[in-house]
Amino acid sequence: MKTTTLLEVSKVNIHYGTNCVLEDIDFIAPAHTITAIIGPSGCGKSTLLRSFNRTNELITKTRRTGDILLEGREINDYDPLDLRARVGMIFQKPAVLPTTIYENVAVGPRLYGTRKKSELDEIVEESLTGASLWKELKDRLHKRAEQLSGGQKQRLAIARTLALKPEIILFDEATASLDPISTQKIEDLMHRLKETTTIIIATHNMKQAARASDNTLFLMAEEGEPSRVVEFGPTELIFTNPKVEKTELYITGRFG
Amino acid sequence: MKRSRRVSPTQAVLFMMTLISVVGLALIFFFVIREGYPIFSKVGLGKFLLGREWLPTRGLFGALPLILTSLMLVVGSVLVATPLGVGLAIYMVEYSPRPVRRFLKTIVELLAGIPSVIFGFFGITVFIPLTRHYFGSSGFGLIPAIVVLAIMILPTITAVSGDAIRAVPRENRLIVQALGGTRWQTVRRGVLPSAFRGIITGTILAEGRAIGETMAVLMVLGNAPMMPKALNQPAAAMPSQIALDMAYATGDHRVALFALGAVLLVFAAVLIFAARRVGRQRR
Repeated sequence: MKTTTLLEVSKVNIHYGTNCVLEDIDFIAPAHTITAIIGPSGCGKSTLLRSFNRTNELITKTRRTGDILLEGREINDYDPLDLRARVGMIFQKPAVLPTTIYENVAVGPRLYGTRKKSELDEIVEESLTGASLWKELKDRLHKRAEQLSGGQKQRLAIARTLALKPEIILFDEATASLDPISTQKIEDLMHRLKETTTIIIATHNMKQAARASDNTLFLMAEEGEPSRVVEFGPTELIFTNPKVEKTELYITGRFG
Repeated sequence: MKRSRRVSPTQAVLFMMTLISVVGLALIFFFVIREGYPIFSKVGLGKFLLGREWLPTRGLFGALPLILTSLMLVVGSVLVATPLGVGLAIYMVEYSPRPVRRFLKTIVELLAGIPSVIFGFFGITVFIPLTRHYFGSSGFGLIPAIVVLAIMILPTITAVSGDAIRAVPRENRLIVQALGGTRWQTVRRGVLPSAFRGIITGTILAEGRAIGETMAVLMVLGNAPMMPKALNQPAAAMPSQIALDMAYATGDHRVALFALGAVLLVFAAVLIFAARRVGRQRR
C-alpha cells in the first residue's frame, strides 16, 4: 500500500477572539494511519481536531491561520458541508438521534438525497458491519437507538459516519466516557478501520495513544502561552525514546 | 427527627395555599355540575349532547351545534396556528440573530398579554370585512373566529415549542452538522424529532385556551346557535353562548347553561390531561 499524505497541517495558529490558543502547529497524517493528539487538558487537542472538519465554526468563534490541506487542497476551499461528509467526527458524549437504529445510520445518506430503500438498506448493513454492530443489532434495526449501551451508541456513531464513506474519521475523546471493554472494542475497530480510512484521535488517555496509534502529536503550553507541538513522531519512538525531556516527563506521568 | 414532625409556619402556609386551590377547583366542578344536572335528567344526557336545536325559549336544549362549533374552532385555530407558531419558534431559536430574537420575544409576550376583547375589536375591524369581501357573507362566522383564535393561541405554541427546541441537547445538532447537514437539515433531523413532544404539549395547551375563549369569539362569530354548515356562516360556541344567554336566562334555560358549562369543563379537562400525558412521556 502506497503511503500518501492525506492531511497536512502547517504553521497553524488558532485564536479564540484575540486569544491565541494554538501556535505553529505542524504535522502530517499519512493515509491509513492513526494519529493520536495528546496533551494536558485545555491544551487545545479538541480545538485542533475540530478545525479539521470545521466543526469549530459551529461551536465557538475561532480564527485560524496557516494551512490545513486535505489531499493537497486547503480545507477552506472545500464546501464546509462536503468537507464534513469527507471528514467524519465522533464526539465524546455517546449521542444518538431520538429515532431507530436504522435511521441513525441512514441519516447521513438521506441528507445527500439517497431515498431508495434498497440502497439505504445496503448502506446501513455495510456501515453497521464496519462498526462491528451488525451481528448484535441486525434483528432490532427498527428499535429505538436510545436503548443501546454507551459503547454501542458510540459504535453506532461510527456506523453513522461510515455511511458517508469518509476519508478521515476524527475521534474527539471518543472513549472518555466508556468502560474499558467498550473502549477496547472501539480501539479494535479503529485498527480495522484504518484499512479504509485515516484516523486522528484526540485523547487524554496516554495508554490509549500508545496502544492504538501509529503517530503521536504531543501538544503543550508553557504558562500563559499558546500550546505548541512539543514532539511529533512515530508512537513507538515517542513512548520509548522521546527526544524532548518534557515528553518523557509527561508520558511517564510526572506532570500535566 | 423531632423537628420534622412539627409543622413549620412555611409548611402551614403552603398547605393552606394548596388547600385553597384544590377546594376551589372541587367547588367549581361541584357547582357547575350541581346547577346543570337537572337538565340532564329532564331532557336526557343523550338528547342534550346530540340534540341539533338550541332554542331555549321553546324548551329545546340540543347542545350539538354549540359543541361542534367549539370543536371546529379549536381544530381550525390549532391547524392555522401550529405551523405559524412552531415556524416562529424555529426561526427564533435556530436562525434569528440576537437582536431580532429579543424583538420577536417581546412581540410574542405582548401578544400573550393583550385582553381578548381587544382581539375581538381587531377581528371586527379587520377579519370580518375581509371575510365579507372574499367569502361573500355577513362576515361574521367561523372564519374570522378561527383567525382571531389562531392569533391568540400563537404565543402559547411559540413559547412552549421554543422551550422544547431550546432543550434539545447540542449533541443532537452536532450529529447532523458533523455529517455535513445544512441548517434546515439540522433542524429537521437533529432538533425537531427531540422537540416533537414539547411541541405537541404546546398545541394541546393552546387548544385548552381556544376552547374556553369567550369574548373575542363572541364578538366575531355571529352567535347563531345552529349546526355549522359553512365556514363563512355565523355560528355559536359553548362559552360565548353561555356568556350571551346568562344575562337573561331563567329556569330551565339557566340550568341548561350550567350544563353546557359542565360539558365545556369536561372538554377542557380532557385537553389538560392529554397535555400532561404527552409531556410526561418526554422523559
